[in-house]
Amino acid sequence: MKPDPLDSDLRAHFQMQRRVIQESCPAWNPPQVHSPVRDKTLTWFRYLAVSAATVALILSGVYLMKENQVGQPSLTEALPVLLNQPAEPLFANLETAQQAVSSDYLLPSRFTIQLP
Amino acid sequence: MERELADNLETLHPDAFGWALHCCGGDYSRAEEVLQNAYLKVAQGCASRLGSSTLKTWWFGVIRLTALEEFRRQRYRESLLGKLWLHLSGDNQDPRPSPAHQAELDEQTLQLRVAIDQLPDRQAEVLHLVFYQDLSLSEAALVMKVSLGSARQHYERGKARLRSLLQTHSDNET
Repeated sequence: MKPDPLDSDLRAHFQMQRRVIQESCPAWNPPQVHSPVRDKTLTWFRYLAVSAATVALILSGVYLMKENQVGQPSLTEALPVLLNQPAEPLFANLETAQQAVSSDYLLPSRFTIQLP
Repeated sequence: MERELADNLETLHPDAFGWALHCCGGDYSRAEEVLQNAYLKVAQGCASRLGSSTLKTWWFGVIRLTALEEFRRQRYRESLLGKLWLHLSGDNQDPRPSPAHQAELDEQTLQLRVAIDQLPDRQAEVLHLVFYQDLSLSEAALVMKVSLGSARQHYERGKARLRSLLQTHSDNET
């Protein structure tokens, strides 16, 4: 859509301005036109290297945590032994006591109870 | 930058400078800086071209955006903190155009510049794009990132206002 052609007065003003500006326009010499474009694969490689390093760091952290857990004693081992567990079963000597020889013979004979 | 793109930009260079100059309010040194920054953006691949726009509308859009960024930077420099930083860093440049550049504008273009400066930004932009850059209204709307209807409204109002301003100026002279 072009503007209507009746605006030639305004257009003339602008075209005059255009001529003046183009005369004083700086020369075309952009600094990096001829330099090679930054390689995008290199950028991707950088991202890849950084992400691989991050993953390796996380994995090594997890490994070290597990390693520390293996080296430490468990909770039951770490607690002090408060009671020595008896080697024999509890009340095991009651049975042997019944079979043992009575010590009544050490008493005087009058104290000895004679059962019928 | 690709060779083909560089050739096309070289063809557009004078018009691109005119557009940069308009976006910088007639400040030659800032316009040169903006254009250089826009070239750098393209060379570094920071500005990629979209399929729907033509090269000229895309390139003018990049320049406009760069000029806006430069304007924000300029505003920061003019702020109190920016002035303090400039004072501490010793990097104190004069942003005004050189007298040689100023003298290059003859009276008629100066009159137009004064009138355009009094227009709202959108109206001035659309008039520049249509009359100076020979773009159609739809292309101007693409560069300005507004709808066609909005561009047309700015165009009509801008024309009327510019005519009255130029008329007032010539009446004052006579």
